[in-house]
Amino acid sequence: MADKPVIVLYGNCHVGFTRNVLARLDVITDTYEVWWVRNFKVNSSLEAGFDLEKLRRCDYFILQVGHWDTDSVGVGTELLEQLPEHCKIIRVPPLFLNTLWPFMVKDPRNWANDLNTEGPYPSYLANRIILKLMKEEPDPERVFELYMNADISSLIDLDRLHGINLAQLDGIDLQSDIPLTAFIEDNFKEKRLFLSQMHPTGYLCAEIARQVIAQLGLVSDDDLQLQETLDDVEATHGIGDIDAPIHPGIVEHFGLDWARGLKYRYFDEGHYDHDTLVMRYIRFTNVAAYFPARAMMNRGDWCEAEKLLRESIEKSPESARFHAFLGEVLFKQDRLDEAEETYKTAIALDCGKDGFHVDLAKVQLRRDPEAALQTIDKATQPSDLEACEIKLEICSRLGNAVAVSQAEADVALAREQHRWPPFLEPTGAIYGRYWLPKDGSGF
Amino acid sequence: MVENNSMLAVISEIIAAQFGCDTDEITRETTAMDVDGWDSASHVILVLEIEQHLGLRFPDERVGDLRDVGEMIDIVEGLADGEEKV
Repeated sequence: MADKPVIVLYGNCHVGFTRNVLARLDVITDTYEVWWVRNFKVNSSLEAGFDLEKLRRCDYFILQVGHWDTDSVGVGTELLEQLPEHCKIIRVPPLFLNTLWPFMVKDPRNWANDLNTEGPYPSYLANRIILKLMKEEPDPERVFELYMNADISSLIDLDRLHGINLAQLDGIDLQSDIPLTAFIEDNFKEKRLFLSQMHPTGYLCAEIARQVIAQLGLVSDDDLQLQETLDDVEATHGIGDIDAPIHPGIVEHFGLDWARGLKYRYFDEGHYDHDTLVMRYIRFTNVAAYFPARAMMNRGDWCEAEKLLRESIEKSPESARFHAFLGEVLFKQDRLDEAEETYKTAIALDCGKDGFHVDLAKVQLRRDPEAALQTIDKATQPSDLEACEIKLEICSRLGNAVAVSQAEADVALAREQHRWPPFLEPTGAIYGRYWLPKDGSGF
Repeated sequence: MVENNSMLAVISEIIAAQFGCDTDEITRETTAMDVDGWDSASHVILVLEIEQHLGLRFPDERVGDLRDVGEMIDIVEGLADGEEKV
């Protein structure tokens, strides 16, 4: 069978997200191979081994324009010259909004290494007003108080900042086939569009995917699978593992009702309200042991990983994910009682994580399939293939023929309807687990 | 209005404060790609910082073009003279 023609998507995270939307649609994948090439922290030139054969089969090249960043490598003309003549290029914009985070700066206290490449407080969390206050005032509580009481309008012209932001986005729209500035302008007060300056929410990811698909003209607007997929994307938290806190003065200035009482994600440590996250930033609170712990897990050094995870939990006991990782480490060491209790703690801290139920069910399956069945039923969604497969294993172990038959049907349906895992859990997930396709393609 | 060389010093200070680099590293030829962290998102704040510091307003249609420090200086000088140098 001849190779399928290719749809190439070249760009940042949100373009990768769009790739996964396309990869879920039968009407696309029946005809096309869909391939995402990220443009950050990689060299995508011909010299670096860009897949020329795929380029020559490319019918649609979705190209992100207008973002300049030392981490991003622009697509060179030598690549575009390899595209077949009939290939349609669709230009998409980058996504960013600074209006809500006007004080970003490089914090001299921040560090980075191979395990944590951005460090605990990268520039989109750092705050120059706070850093300035810290130079004048040694007491962190007082710094917090001064920052919270600061008259933001006297520090920065928020409306002009917003105007500059929109002007820049307008300029990018002119280079793009998908104008997004009007959408951002019309919606940013009513909806949460960004989690931080560069990272859009699921709502905005869905909009760009919708517009890309409209430009492709390959899927009808009333395609049920498309609607369902876009609904899935809209329901996700969005991209990135840190949410940047919005100063209450900015919330008031723009009348952002959606931003009142928000919980912000901070890596895997937890979700914090604005005040707590700001206070943690002032104190430069972070769990340094966590990243080495993950490295030890990847290496299979369970003893060292356990030690580091326990240290992490001591510093951030409310982190559901720290407990879940510890549960995994204990399970790997066959310490089933401890693993079960640890997963239960993770679920108690964040019951929204389906993945925790699946992991707990795996532990229980080893010795108590009835308990495992009860647990997995709390996790199983039609879209969660892994949960369906574990349930099938549990039902087989229990020897219930009717349940096995139903579970087999669920697995088949999950495989048929959702060849790709969910995008992100509603509260955010490990960057790769749900967001990247399981087969690792596109890299 | 400050002299052209002094303007370089002023703008270098603003860039250094925002991106944590050394002012000595900034020349007229410096572009966003030369400065760690100067991307299309942080550029917005840099433009506002320069505007607030110098009490001027960049034309909206030029905001996205100001990637070269020399070009920034020329526009600032042009605004001061009443017409934009290009």
